[in-house]
Amino acid sequence: MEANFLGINMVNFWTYFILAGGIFVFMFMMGAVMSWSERKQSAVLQDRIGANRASIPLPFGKKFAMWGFINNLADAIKCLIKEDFKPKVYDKLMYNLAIFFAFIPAVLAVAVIPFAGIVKPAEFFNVSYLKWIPYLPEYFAKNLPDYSFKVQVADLNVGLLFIFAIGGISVFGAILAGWSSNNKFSMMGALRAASQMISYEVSMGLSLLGLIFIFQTVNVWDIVQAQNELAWGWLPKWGVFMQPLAMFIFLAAAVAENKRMPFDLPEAESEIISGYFTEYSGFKMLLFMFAEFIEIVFVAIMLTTFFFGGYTVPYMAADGFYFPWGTYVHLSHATVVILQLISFHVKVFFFAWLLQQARWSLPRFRYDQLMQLGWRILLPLAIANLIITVIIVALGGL
Amino acid sequence: MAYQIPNFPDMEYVDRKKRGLTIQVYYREIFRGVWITTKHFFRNLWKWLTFRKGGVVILYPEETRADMSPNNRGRHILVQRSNGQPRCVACKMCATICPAQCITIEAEESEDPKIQKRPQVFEIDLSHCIFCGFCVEACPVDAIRMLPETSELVGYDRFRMVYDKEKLLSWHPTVSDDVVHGYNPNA
Amino acid sequence: MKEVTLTVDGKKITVPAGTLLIDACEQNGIYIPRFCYHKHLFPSGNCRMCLVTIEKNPKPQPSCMTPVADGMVVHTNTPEVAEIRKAVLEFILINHPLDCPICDKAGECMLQDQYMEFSGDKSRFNETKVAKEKLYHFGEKIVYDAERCILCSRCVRITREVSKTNKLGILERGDRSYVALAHGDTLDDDPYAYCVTDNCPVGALTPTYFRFKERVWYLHKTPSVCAGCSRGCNIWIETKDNVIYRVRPRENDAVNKSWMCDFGREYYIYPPKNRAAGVKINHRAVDYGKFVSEVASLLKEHTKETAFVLSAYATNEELTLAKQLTEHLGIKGIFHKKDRVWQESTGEIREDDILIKEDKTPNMAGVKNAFPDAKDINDMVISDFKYAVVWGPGAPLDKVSGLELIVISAMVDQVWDKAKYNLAGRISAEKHGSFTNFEGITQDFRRAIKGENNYDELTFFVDLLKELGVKPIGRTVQEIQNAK
Repeated sequence: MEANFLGINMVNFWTYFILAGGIFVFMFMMGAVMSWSERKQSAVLQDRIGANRASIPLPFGKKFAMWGFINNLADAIKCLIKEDFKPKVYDKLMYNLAIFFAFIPAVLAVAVIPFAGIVKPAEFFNVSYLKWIPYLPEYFAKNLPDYSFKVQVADLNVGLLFIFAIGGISVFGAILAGWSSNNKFSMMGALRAASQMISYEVSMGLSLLGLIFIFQTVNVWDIVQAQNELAWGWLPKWGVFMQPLAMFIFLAAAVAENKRMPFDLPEAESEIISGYFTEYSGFKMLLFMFAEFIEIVFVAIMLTTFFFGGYTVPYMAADGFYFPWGTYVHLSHATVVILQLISFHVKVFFFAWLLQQARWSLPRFRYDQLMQLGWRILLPLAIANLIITVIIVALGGL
Repeated sequence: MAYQIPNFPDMEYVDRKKRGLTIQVYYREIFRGVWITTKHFFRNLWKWLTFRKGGVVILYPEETRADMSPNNRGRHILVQRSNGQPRCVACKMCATICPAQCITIEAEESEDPKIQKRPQVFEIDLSHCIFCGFCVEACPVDAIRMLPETSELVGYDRFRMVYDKEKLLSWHPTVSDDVVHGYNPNA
Repeated sequence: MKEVTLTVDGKKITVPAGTLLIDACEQNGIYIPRFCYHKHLFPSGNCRMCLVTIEKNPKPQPSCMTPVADGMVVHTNTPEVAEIRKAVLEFILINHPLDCPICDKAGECMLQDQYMEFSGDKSRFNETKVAKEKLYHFGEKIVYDAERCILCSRCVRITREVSKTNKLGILERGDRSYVALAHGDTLDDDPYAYCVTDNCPVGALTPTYFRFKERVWYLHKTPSVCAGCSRGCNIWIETKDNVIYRVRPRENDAVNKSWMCDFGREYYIYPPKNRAAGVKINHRAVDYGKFVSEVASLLKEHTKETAFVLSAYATNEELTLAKQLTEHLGIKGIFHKKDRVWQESTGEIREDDILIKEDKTPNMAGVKNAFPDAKDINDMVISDFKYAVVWGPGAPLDKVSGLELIVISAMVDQVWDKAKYNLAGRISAEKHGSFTNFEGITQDFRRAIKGENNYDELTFFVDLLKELGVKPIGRTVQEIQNAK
């Protein structure tokens, strides 16, 4: 099918349409999973039971509760039918716009993240265990024998900068929400959020600069590919091995960017109610919460992509495993792609779990401690890390 | 190291240890904390996965506490006469002594001239009640008692926690003598 | 008057000759317990609770029957007297049923109080108590419980000395004694019947209107003055949650001693059904502020054509402000009226030479003091006026045409229905102020209950004066009284 419609390659169009849609759905599902784990994981680690009541009644007195997963559904329905309470005097446009500023960047930045390597559909379906799929194998073998694509929505040359640019927008969400609500608590929360996010963005950016120096690129695809190479013949060049200090700085800064425990000063309930979204209710509040959950996932994705090799499996190339001791295990193309997908998801799930675990284990920082940590510890460390990296790279160490 | 403060013998300065880098970067303590919660997480998760209960809390109403003290008195009843009428004479002693002021009584004339007075309305607002048992002690005719049970204090609004006369009388004694004949404190 | 000096518990006291020992002691701060003795009744000396020892006297003497004598040495706090009191209480309690839980008197019962203070012993009586009639109706007003009765004969003496109906007496002897009416008789036509319930030391006689309604310790007592007639009996209005539960006489030797009539009580206990409510212009509810400004401008414009009809239910303080108002405006046509509400509703004119007066308004004397020039409303020449401020109910203007009426009243009557401007006023239980009774005694009373959807006339006059640009004499009762 060499169909061109108005100059658009329809094959590419449908590929990326499905890919973008799939990633969009993935992020939303992960948001739902996060809001579930916020309840259930916290309960399990605190020796509680957690959400288990909301259920769909089934015949014969059975109930479909799915370990509390139905609670999310109940939440969504509740928030939809709740009164949409607004402040008496507020900036209507900004008030409504703020939600999108908070929500969209979290989903948008995933566009440059590769979820798996290059896929060749014709070869992909040519595997014994995928023979049961009707129509598609024949279609690709006949019409598009050489077609291939990356499992990445946008392969931007400035991928990493794109992420930072988009991430920088989300601060507007907090600021606008707090300012337009016409509420002192909201304003205070917004100010806290803004200063915190801007402070930690500096450390976060500096911590990733080291990687850029090592891999000599800001293209996310290339960074992931570079991480699959081996240093000294046996160690995968994962960011965490190249830049261990930067990983910790990035972790702290990313959690702070995300405004989660222990850095959830902008939403400190005991001090300023709900911070910048105090005056939001119903589904609008739900969207703020949802954006936060999606951001957790995005932090996990960033950690995976920049420090833990992204979708790559150690020692695995496009046609199989090349172990350092010389063994070669051949794998079919489909197996490789599936392994890559699994690898990516396992890593993301693990870091999301870890972030939740930390969120439910740690107390909140004091605000001066937060600023102290950001400016006086993380920033100097990040700069020192960068300088050492630059020197080593310049000397040809890596 | 502690310094005595002159003129204040009870007080002293305490020099805290300067926080070193390991504490300042927080990571060690964070991982220690997360390690503890992680242990709990996996232990409880394993219990859930093997079809056991992985929490110390109680799944009310399927489970109830077994460790309730036998001295616990958590439910009010109105003692009945042999004809099922309350023994209460609406003297309002309980309402008067009640520190939470949760008892509402309205009296009416009884058909029986020997009894004369009986409650028309007898309500205990259990959402206010503090279960002190003063009402039981104040009652001159042993008409109100508290049982070693828990009142199932659940409801969609607070008005469901108001127990009226019918509800308080709905308790049926297993040993009828106990209710029909008065409790003699001197016996 | 000759005075005598005697010694009570080592304290020398001087009282007029002829005073009873129990009164002499009480005037000097020594309370002697009693059941049958009442200050305003002839002593009977049957309860023996007030026994005291008098030196050189071989037996203890009832202090309520003993007049003081010069050089008397009396002991009221010796162990012997305490023993006597314990014995008397034990004797009284032998047949007392102790049904305090269902007794309306509990909480203000003299037997309870004196048992707690002077005895506190446990009962030694193992035999069966005498059973008597528990529920006997002395007519519709009073319920008699013979078991609780301690036969002090106060009630008998009240009917004999206060209401002079001689209806009650004590029949039978010993522990079979009971208070009884003549066969077929009731206390319903005794206008002082409720006094026997107030003065019964125990719960033997209780009023039906208060039977089982509320325990007495929940009631909040407010000192007030009865507005039922121009006698101005001093009363306690006993309320709970803005509801009047009971009205009882307040002791005042100058006016009503310890008594009051039943009509006065019913005046408060059964609130009138025709209470006025709200503020209206042309029968439509309006804002109070608008009403004040409209009435003010109307009075200002038509001063010469306005008649001002005073209410004899108004307090002296309200009348002071009304006087300030009329003097400021220069209203000449001021009238007073006898409010006819009471007579019309009962259909009879009640009067006796004990307490009840023919004039059923509480403050006619106050009106006449404040406005000596006011004429009777029956002498009013209607054609002289176009407007009339009618204050209080019962003005005979309902049949008159050609008058715009401004009615400020607590009651709805024909005049209220006919008026163009209506303001609901308050009854005396809802007001704070003072009344002057027919003898010229001015007595303060306090507000017992809150008015619902009506306006204090005092505040109305204050607002009216402010609207007219005059500084009122005072804004509260206290300020007005101080200014006088």
